[in-house]
Amino acid sequence: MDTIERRDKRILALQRRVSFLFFPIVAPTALFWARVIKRLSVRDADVVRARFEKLVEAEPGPILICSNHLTLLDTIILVWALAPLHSYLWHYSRFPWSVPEKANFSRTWFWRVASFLGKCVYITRGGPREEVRRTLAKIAYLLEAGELVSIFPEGGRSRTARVDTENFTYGVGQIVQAVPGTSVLCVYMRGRKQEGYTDYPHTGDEYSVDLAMLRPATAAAGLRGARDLATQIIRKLAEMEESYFDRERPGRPARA
Amino acid sequence: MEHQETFDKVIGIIKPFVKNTDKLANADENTRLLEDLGVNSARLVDIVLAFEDEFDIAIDDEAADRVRTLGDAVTVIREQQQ
Repeated sequence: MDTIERRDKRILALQRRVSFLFFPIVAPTALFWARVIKRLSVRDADVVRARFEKLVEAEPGPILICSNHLTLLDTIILVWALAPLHSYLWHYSRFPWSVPEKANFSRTWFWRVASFLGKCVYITRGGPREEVRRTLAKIAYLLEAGELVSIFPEGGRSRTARVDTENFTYGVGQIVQAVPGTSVLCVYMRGRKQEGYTDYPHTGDEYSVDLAMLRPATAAAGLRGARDLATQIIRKLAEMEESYFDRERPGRPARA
Repeated sequence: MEHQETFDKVIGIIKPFVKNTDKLANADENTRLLEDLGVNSARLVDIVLAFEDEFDIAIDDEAADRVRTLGDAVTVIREQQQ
């Protein structure tokens, strides 16, 4: 993987500082939208947060958060579910960087500013390879610097409403390859009303959030290794999904 | 292996990944994998790995990045075979 350009390092450092300064405004606003406007809730949030704390504390190396993906605003729910907002001020590296699709989150000034303040690094799916490589280099740099990074390893919202074990991208494998010792915090989250992929979560939905730490490994190198690693992560998420359906919606098949 | 033979094998390998099968029937060296044949960009890696298996070669990331058309694929494969 390419090394990060000096200019990108400076921009990321600036973004982190500005994001931190605006966090006391931006985060409660997002939470207000989630809790009051959309009336969303996270079941057993205290339990989820305690588990997150324990898992992160136990990991000495870089942590990449990999989650399933069904709505455009999954990151907000993820951040809210993993820790109380004020705690991010003390551990700002735990407020994860996100890697949203540029086309979805750069359409308006509002989204561009929100993305900058929300520690986002844009990626263009299927875009020019140099641009994708540059983004992957940024992510690797952030992980090495001890920042948490959250990505959706499926490469987009699942069109099947289930973890897509067929059409996922291998970028996540390249990231794990580029930063040796990276652990992957797999997060499976789903609202009770979430039947398919949508732009926004359903109003009044209650989210279930499961966490599992994975240390993917492969003897293969290059693209084959990236595929192996990405496959392990996707399989773990699919396994967590099976558990979710067994537990929450017994009698319904997890896979269409 | 002759150039045309390699080309034909490439066509066979990419066939399962192609969405625009009509275009594949009239494909030539300039046919682009993503834009013309509708191959999902995420599956390019699978195609490159399939080339490695079929031709018993190793294709590094840089060479893989050069594969945009069927002609590129044939060129990369033949380079690695030499």
